[in-house]
Amino acid sequence: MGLKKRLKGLLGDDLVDDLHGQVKDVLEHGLDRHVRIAVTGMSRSGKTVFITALTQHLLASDKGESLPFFALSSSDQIISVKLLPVDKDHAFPLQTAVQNLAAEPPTWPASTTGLSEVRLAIRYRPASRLQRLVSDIATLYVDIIDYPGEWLLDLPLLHKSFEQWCSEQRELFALAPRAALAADWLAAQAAIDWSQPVDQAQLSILNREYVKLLHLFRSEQYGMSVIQPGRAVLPAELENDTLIELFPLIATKPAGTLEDNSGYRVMEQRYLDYREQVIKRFYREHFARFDRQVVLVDCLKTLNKGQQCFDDMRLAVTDVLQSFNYGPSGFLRRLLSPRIDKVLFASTKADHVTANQHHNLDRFLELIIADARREMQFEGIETTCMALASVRSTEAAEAVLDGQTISCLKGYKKASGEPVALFPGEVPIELPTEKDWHSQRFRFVDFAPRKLPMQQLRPEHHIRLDQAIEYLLGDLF
Amino acid sequence: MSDKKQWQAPVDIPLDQVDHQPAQEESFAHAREVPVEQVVSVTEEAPKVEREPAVRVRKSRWRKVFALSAGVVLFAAVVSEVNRLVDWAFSLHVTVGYAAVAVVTTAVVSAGMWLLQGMRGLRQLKAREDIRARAQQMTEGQGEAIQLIKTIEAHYQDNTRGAKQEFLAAVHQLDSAYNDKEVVRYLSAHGLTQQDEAAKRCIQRYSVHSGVLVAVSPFATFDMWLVGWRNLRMLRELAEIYGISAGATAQWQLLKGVLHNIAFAGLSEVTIHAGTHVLGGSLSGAVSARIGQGIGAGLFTARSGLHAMRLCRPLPDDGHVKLDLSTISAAIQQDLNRKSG
Ligand SMILES: Nc1nc2c(ncn2[C@@H]2O[C@H](COP(=O)(O)OP(=O)(O)OP(=O)(O)O)[C@@H](O)[C@H]2O)c(=O)[nH]1
Ligand SMILES: [Mg+2]
Repeated sequence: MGLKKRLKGLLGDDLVDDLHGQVKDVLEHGLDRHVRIAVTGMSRSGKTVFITALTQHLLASDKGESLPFFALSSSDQIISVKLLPVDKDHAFPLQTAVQNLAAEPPTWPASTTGLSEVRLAIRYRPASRLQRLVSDIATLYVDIIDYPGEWLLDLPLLHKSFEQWCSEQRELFALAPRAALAADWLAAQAAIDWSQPVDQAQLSILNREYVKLLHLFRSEQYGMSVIQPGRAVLPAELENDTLIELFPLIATKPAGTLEDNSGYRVMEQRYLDYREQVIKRFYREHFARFDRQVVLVDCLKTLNKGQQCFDDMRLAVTDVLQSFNYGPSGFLRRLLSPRIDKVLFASTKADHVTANQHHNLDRFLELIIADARREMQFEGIETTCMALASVRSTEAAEAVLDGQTISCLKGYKKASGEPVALFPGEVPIELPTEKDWHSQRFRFVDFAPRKLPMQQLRPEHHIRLDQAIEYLLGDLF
Repeated sequence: MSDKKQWQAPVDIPLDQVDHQPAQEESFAHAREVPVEQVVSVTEEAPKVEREPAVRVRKSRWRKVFALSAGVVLFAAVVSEVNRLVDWAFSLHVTVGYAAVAVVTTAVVSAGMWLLQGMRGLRQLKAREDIRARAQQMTEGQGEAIQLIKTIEAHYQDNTRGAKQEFLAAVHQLDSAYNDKEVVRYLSAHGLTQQDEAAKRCIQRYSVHSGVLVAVSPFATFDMWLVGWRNLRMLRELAEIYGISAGATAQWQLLKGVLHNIAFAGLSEVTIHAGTHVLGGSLSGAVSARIGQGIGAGLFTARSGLHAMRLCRPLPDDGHVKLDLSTISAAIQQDLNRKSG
């Protein structure tokens, strides 16, 4: 008090009051935090559905009804949550997704083909008195971007030379099912002398075949995850661009010095261009600045498909996660160059198994992400595993079969829309043995969504989404 | 082929054989239907933590003999004294005699009832401790929580202040997907809200009271008694809020727990303490020594209240049992300023 008076005497009233206001402003903005969440997941892992459900539940979180484990919401501290406008070309199609899920019959959002962004502002009453001293109201801004999962696989290429990439692909192409499926393409490639100039038309043909192969690998039937380069299968604005005419050379690198116009050098140049002009730009603009990360993994798909699918998924996840910046992030660090300081590994679609299998699902997820997680923990990153369903589409039920009561699921098949009830099998907590993979051990079917109302969301519309939110954001309030 | 039965194969179920479970009530009845093997393995995984053996103070045999004989002597003395009193009363007049008998009987019966009530409170406290311990050991499996819920429900027989209704309402809200741990967390956060709120209000009130009393009392030696008195009243009220029969023994048990906690207070609590002092101080400028003592007494009361709350709750606390201690010191100062100004 005394200090302020003396200052006023020295500097004049206006200036001091002005300064006072400014300081208060700065302090208030200090309370307003910004957080960017990276939603990471291979294609069809449930990113778009997750973002849609998260946004919708958060928008209704001031009612405090649907997120019992999100402390801020259940203690009625949230005043209101609103969507902030984003650039038109990049707006997340929330309206469409929400409408589709609320329609009759409800449908899942379509596979994502481009980049989009959601920005939320959460206005709340801080609980701690220290914060309330500064302001009664604070705001947390949350940014989330959505993108096709295919593009994610480009990120690891940033740290690899052409030669490294080719040798990794060589190992992959030596394994089933790639080896058999690509036999013709491999033979055609081997027939070419890459130390000599190669006809452009020939490269185009090889590329076209390669793209076809990639589509085949990632199809329902094989469910492979390591599909590179990502733009080859989902070019978006690069459709017909020569930049994406790129494939790995599976034949070993030709010996001796190579001319600049040799086939090998040409492909290498394409790789470098692709990396520079496509990946780096994408990374710098959208992937470099994150504070929190969710890694969504569809464990059930791998269980349905078998060992090769599992191995490929594990490789892809581990590879991708190395492209993010991890490290403890203090206040200043966060302002200058944000780093991810908390990671949530989530196995999505937990509603595909009965509730007593959720714990096993957690454990199985741990198997897939073990390597990536170890590295993060080494860096001091907080990580956790959780089985969740963003939009719960089954109901728990039970049936008496042969005198035995078993718990099962009731829902509607995604493919045909007809009602089904089944016990989909137990989730293993260790890698299944060779024999198990091939037996009829698992039958996880895809379900059509249950209607997600636009109003009056309830906790039974999701599984553990509230705990995911609490984990990702809870400590920021 | 021999390992075929290690896992349960997927089954398609004809739709008409499915019992649909309504989300309410039965959703947790379903939680019971965990295959037996699983339940066993879960308990195997989480071995009971051995309690640290308490240091036993060896009791002398003579002490026992002394206590017994002294008890007998005292009892005999009391009986003979009462006898004489009644005799004397009869010798005055018959009506006086009957009156004396009536008074004595009332005293004996009420003493017995009081003791019984106290024992009941004690039992309840002990039972809550057991429930909390069980709740803490819940795993990520399913099926154990239902027993626990039943036990807690039985505890709320007399439905003090709608506590049971609130608890049951929270139980109905439980999701079929929650595992045991989540069930406990959910109920702890949403099933005891009214009681927690009432308890916090009670603690706040008594803390401010005792703080102000100490600050204005002119006799330093009285302070301790004042604080002790307010504290005991508060413990009693807290016990009642959580539906524990608030006899003297329960109160005593709570007091013991609280004192134990304060004696072994962790460093973190001490730092919070210091922090709130600093905050309170900087807000109002200089704080007089007397007010300082008042605030100290208030915070002490608050802390013992919070710990008593933890002891009375049937479920473990994960962050619900907390009060903004700085509001207490602020309230004490405000109260004093109002009084002096
Ligand atoms: N039952 C259930 N199915 C889900 C859930 N989330 C996703 N799915 C299924 O997974 C499919 C893919 O989900 P998306 O969110 O579109 O996946 P994505 O990661 O955005 O995929 P891309 O955009 O292709 O990268 C959906 O069509 C659903 O069938 C869920 O919470 N529950
Ligand atoms: Mg998508």
